[in-house]
Amino acid sequence: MSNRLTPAIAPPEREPPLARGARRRRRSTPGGPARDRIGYLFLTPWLIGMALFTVGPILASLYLSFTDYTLLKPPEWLGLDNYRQMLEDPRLHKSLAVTFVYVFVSVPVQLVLALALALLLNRGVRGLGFYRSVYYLPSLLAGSVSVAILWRQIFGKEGLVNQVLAMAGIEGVSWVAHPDFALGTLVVLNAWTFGAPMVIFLAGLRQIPHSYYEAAEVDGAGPVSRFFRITLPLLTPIIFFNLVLQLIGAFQSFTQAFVISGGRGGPSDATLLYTLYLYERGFGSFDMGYASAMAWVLLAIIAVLTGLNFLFAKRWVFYGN
Amino acid sequence: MATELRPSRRRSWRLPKHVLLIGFGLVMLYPLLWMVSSSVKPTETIFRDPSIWPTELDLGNYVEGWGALSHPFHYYLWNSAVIAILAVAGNLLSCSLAAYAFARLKFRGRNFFFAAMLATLMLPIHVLIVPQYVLFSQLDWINTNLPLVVPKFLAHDAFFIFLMVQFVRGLPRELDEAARIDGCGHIRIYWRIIIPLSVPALATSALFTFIWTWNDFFSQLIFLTDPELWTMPVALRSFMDGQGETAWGELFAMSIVGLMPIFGFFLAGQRYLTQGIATTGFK
Amino acid sequence: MSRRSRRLAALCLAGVMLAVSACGGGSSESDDGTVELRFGWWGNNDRADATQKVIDTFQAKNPGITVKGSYTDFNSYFDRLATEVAAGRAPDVITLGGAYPREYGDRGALLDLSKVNLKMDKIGAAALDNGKFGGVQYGVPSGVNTIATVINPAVFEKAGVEVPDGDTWTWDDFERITKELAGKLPKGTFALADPTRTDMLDAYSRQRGEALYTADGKVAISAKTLVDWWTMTLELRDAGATPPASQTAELITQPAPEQSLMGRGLAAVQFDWSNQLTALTKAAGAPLKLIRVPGETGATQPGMWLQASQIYSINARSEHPEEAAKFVDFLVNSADAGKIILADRGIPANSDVREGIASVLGEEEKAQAEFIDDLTPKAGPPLVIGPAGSTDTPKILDRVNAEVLFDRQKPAEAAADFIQQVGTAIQQ
Repeated sequence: MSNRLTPAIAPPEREPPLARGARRRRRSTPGGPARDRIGYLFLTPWLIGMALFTVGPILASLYLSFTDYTLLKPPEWLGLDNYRQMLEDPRLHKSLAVTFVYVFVSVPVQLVLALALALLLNRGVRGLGFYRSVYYLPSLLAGSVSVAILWRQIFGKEGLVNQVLAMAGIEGVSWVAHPDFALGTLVVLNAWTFGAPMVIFLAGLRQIPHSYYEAAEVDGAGPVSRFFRITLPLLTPIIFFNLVLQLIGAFQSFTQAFVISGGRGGPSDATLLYTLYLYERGFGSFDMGYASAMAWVLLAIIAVLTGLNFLFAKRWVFYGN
Repeated sequence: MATELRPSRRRSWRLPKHVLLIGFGLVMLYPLLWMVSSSVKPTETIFRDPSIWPTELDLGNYVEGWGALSHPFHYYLWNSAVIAILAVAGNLLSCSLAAYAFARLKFRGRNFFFAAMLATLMLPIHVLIVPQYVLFSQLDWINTNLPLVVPKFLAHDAFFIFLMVQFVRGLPRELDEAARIDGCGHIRIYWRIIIPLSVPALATSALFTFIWTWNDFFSQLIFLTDPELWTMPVALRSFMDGQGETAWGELFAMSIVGLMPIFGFFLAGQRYLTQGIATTGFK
Repeated sequence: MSRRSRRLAALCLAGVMLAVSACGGGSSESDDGTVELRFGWWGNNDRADATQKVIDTFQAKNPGITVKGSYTDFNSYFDRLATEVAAGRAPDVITLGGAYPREYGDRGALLDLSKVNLKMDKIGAAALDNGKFGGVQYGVPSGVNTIATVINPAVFEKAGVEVPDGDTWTWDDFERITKELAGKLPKGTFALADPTRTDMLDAYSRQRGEALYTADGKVAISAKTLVDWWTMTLELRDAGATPPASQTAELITQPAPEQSLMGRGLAAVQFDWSNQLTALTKAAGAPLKLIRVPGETGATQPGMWLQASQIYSINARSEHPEEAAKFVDFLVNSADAGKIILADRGIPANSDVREGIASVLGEEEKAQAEFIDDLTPKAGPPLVIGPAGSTDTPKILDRVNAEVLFDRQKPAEAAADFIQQVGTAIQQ
């Protein structure tokens, strides 16, 4: 039974077979309370943290989303006005469109790149650690204040791309600042920082027991079939993790678009990611009530998509042996 | 037969693979190389002559940048390191406990708590920072490291809980079961079995926590207003002036210095990504 | 015990947070009776060194008061300030600039300075006006500034074009000269970067008897003025006097003087604040010169004005307003502070202080001081600072201007769009 591939979602709704056996064995603790206690015991730090630091600010932001809150004056109750206003805000709609394009292009691109590099850098090349570290470097740099300047050295008017084009006699535009291309450069920038998912994939690859490959090799399986029969299925929990979190993260992408567009999301809102607009409203226009309402709409969007992710995960994510 | 073929096939692949890896690496590193090159140019020439080839090699930016602020630069590196190291310790401990609960235990409300945990990742920091600031200000924690460190010990980073959950769930349950038959309680299973087997996940979490805390500008900016407490990223900003002069050379030089510790941490830590099950005798 | 009480604690905390506004200022009084003030400002480490010296001098003269500086770069400063004000923990003395004093003042975050003892009789009237809204003085200017034309004579010389006379040149001259430059300058060097910025629209419309805003906080600039402006900038772009649209869009995302075309020696003309002269000169590596903006003579009225470069104000919730006022007084009125700050926060607005430091100023600062002295009698009426919400205007202008430069909107559509968007922003 334990050899069967167990499709499940996290956390598993179905009791794993072995745990079920364990419950039967431990007669002294029938049903819940004792097990609840041990569960909550392990969860204690998290529960305290939630109660102390997380729930309060979250509830506060929910409350503020129903108010007119300029930061400088106490909030005034508005009811649903902020949410109603969102329906008629063209820039909000634009930012949603920009964000959806960004998320649905950049997440797959980044994940495929990260997985490819992780496979390449998993084993069999001398100097692996060095290569890994080098490929992780851009991700280290991505949070830096200088990244905007550095990115222009590639995609700016006088950047590397245009220097290459100039050799072919073509005069390029400023890619970072052209309404048709600016969002594309952000996707590339995001792909450039594939380090984090790559590392997670690497760790995942390492958790696949050698014995499986050895057994497959004995069976005469080639590298391709080994990849599809062993690596990929056993990596699905990690692929799933990366997918869920990159999606959540991509919807909230902020820093890179912010520094590259000088905080503007320009030109003409071509890179106005949702959080950029949210930040502009909250801190730029002193409209934190509206920004909070925007945040809760974002939460709803992400939650629905994450829920779908978990729903579909039943079909393709495999835990266990 | 297959085993006879493989070495030669590997060798013939080796060179192109390295060429590919190095070529790709160079493209990826172009911006960084530009920054290194600019850090050895005099500030005035960085933008006047933005070519990647420096005409002179002047380490003055490093020397002057190091001493330009009210404390030498290593003071800020140290402040950052203290916070980052505490954050790593906090995250490893608290997130792995929570992850064990979510991945291995069944209790009432688990699915609800799990969803709640994920939901905490879905609100942008910018609408939370003001209420958080108010909270920490009520606790009188502003201008201390506490707002940046204490939450880590209380599993505030759902990212790492979820990460560890996914890894722990990938571990074969036979091991827990065997231990349980031997009479081990959950605490011992967690400590003796799950933790040692989760080295890759723990290493990943440690790396990311360290790096992300090290680079985290916004919350450090907001919570640490006293220049004595400044961390590296906050200190870097004082080379800049959005309106007046910016010491670009020194900014780039110190950015590279600020990159070194996390690069070193990664270089040292990445080995542990490749340990764990494969080398702990589990076959 | 545990779960219920935890839930209770969570609710209490949420409640505490919702009462966001309640508590007092960020200052404190220690046991020995010394008052501690916090002073918030923005800038780099050079300014930090000078500021610390001023603080030390102040403390030596006022034994009962200690001052703690709290600073970071410009953008981060305003994020942090807004957060601190929201939590009731803002610094006692707050540095502001541009339209921010009014944003904060109109919303009750700043102290009415008539309630404290603060001398302002030596401060230039025009700049002082920048800190006064609805009849209330909320701030005192640190220094004086003006929008001006920065000229790089070397570039003019290279092109063989004569440097214009700032006292007489008109907008027609401006167009003619920049187009002539465009034909003669090497590739990559431009007559100027796209000149569209709110300050220039202010100056341009004031010359026509308009302005960006009316005194009672409405949009004042007319569609015709905007159309004329954009018709001109499109011609400049097409003539190659200004860079192509995408390069302009790239340039506005990098506002540092060192990154500007002028700072890189790649432009003949740039409209900028007079106090940028020092940084621009250093960056360009060539002597630069200030002249007045085009069209000042022969217009309905002069469009240029004297503006406070920075404004010191006091937190309305400060527990020690008198001590804070004492510190602000020291910053703007004392010769000792002036000798340390020099022209770092603009040419001092206090006439005595300005005279006191005249001899020790550097070459560029001297040029700025002379330029401002020369301009003072020739300046137009005091500027109407935008109402609350007007800090959005520069961003709106950036967006609309991009639409124009990328040929997505005709000047007439853009003008209507701009007026409508600014109107919405300032009525909120």
